[in-house]
Amino acid sequence: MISENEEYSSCKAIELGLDDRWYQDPKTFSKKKVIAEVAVFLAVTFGLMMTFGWKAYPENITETKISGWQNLCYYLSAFSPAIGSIVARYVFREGFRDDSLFPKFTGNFKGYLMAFVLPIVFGIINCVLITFSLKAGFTFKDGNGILDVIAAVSLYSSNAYIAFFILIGEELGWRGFLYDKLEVLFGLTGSIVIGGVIWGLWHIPPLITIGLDFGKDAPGFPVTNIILMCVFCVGGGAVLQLLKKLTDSVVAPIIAHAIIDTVCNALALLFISGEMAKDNQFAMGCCLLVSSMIVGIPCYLYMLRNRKTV
Amino acid sequence: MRGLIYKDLYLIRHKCVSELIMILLLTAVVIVLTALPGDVPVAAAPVMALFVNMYIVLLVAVLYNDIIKIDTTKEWGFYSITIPGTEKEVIAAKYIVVFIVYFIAFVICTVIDIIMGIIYGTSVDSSMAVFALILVNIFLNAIEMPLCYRFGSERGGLIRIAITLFVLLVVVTYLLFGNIGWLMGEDGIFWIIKDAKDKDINIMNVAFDRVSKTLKNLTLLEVIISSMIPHIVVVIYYISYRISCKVYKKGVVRDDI
Repeated sequence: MISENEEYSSCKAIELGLDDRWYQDPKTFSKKKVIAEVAVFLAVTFGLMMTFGWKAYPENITETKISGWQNLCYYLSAFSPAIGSIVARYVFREGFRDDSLFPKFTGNFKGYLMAFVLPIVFGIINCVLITFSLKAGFTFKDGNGILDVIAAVSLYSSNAYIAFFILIGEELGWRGFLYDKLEVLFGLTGSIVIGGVIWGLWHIPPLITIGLDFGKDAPGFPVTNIILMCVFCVGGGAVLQLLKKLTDSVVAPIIAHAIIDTVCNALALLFISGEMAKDNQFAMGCCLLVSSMIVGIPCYLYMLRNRKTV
Repeated sequence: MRGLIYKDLYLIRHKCVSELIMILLLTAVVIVLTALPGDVPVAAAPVMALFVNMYIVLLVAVLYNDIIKIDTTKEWGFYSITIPGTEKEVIAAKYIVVFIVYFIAFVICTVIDIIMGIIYGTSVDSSMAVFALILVNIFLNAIEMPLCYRFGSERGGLIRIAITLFVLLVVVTYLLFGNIGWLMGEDGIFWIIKDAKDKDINIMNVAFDRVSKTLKNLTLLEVIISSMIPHIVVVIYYISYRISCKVYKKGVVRDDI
């Protein structure tokens, strides 16, 4: 017999969406179920990206007038990992009890500090590599010296807030869902490598249409670009996954990702002229890749060594 | 803390739904009035989107009063210091709820931009303007919240009105007696918008050109100061949280209610 009180709480729980009969603990999932969950996630994410991604990143972006539909396509493709994660979680009744979007600042100061430090280290290494590989010389484009750097960094850092919003779409899917599932299936190393490759493949539309990061003049375009992007994402994924593990939240990876996309790119462009950047896009992309590996490998090793605590 | 956040969001859910309906109605009215009668004016799209988005941010500012009103009463204060966790968590939850509500507003504004873009057939992106509006509101909230915790929401609200009136007074004085060449001058914003409207050009592109020109004329120091504003607001919001923590217990034992 269910008492009146129990019935009331049960109704209330359903109303609040806290009904345990609906929720299934992901820790109890069999490997087959995790594979099915990943498959649903990938189907939705890649389905959206491959359908709308081509239109979202038009060729000759400066000459093409962006329409309202293209804007919609852009958001659908940028948020496709988040949409995939939501669909997979709903289909398999996993819900959002891991609270990956909750910042969890308390006791995670180290993780959040790293979310600022690691991208900056990444950006500085990238600058050094660009300077040496392109023989750009460690001089600023304009004659204002360090003030130029501060101005560019502060300008782009204010853009990071908008980037933060867009990147929720990516991080909620990749670090907030896929990497954890892959770790259950293939272990830490497998999750970093396979996750990175999947993340890299997801970039195919912008890689082909706008030559993202590596340019269209790359030798063996577009296959080289796709391979290099996968390698770049393996390194970058290790950095962001470490931050996710340190803070148990996707907010730290979002912050780091936003800083990489805005401030680090601005830093690199400070050392070389616009024309030089245009002519050497492939070399600059390779510098990005090497920087991601230089920062990513120690992060991976740190996770490997501290597997039990991180 | 998550429970407290959930509690606040749960309590304002009906208000959120009714405000969402109002936003949808306003969007529909704006579209019907501007897009349906014959030719779709390209120039109108960003202006209309910005108008609706401003309304959304304004609604959130009103919603803020409901969020803050519940937890600044004396009864809740006495109850809250008995629940598990410290008063810091109670206050942090409130600050996070306010941030979440603004974030939701930003998401809705982006959706409105997309809808307007599709209907008017041009790209609409008012994210920077919405972001600036939200920053202003967060700044005002950062001032008001410690006052609400210390003196109650009604007195805190009065102080906010006083601050807003003061800011308004400064703005009006500047508009009446200051140099407003950037607004009404030959090359000012007003004439640029009017010209774009007459020629039916996307105002966003015109505004972008204008901003680029202005940025080129700025000194590096001005660029640094203006782009540091969002960070400064974030720091002020955090300082406001720390002040609220300090004054919370004094607020609980105040003798006004």
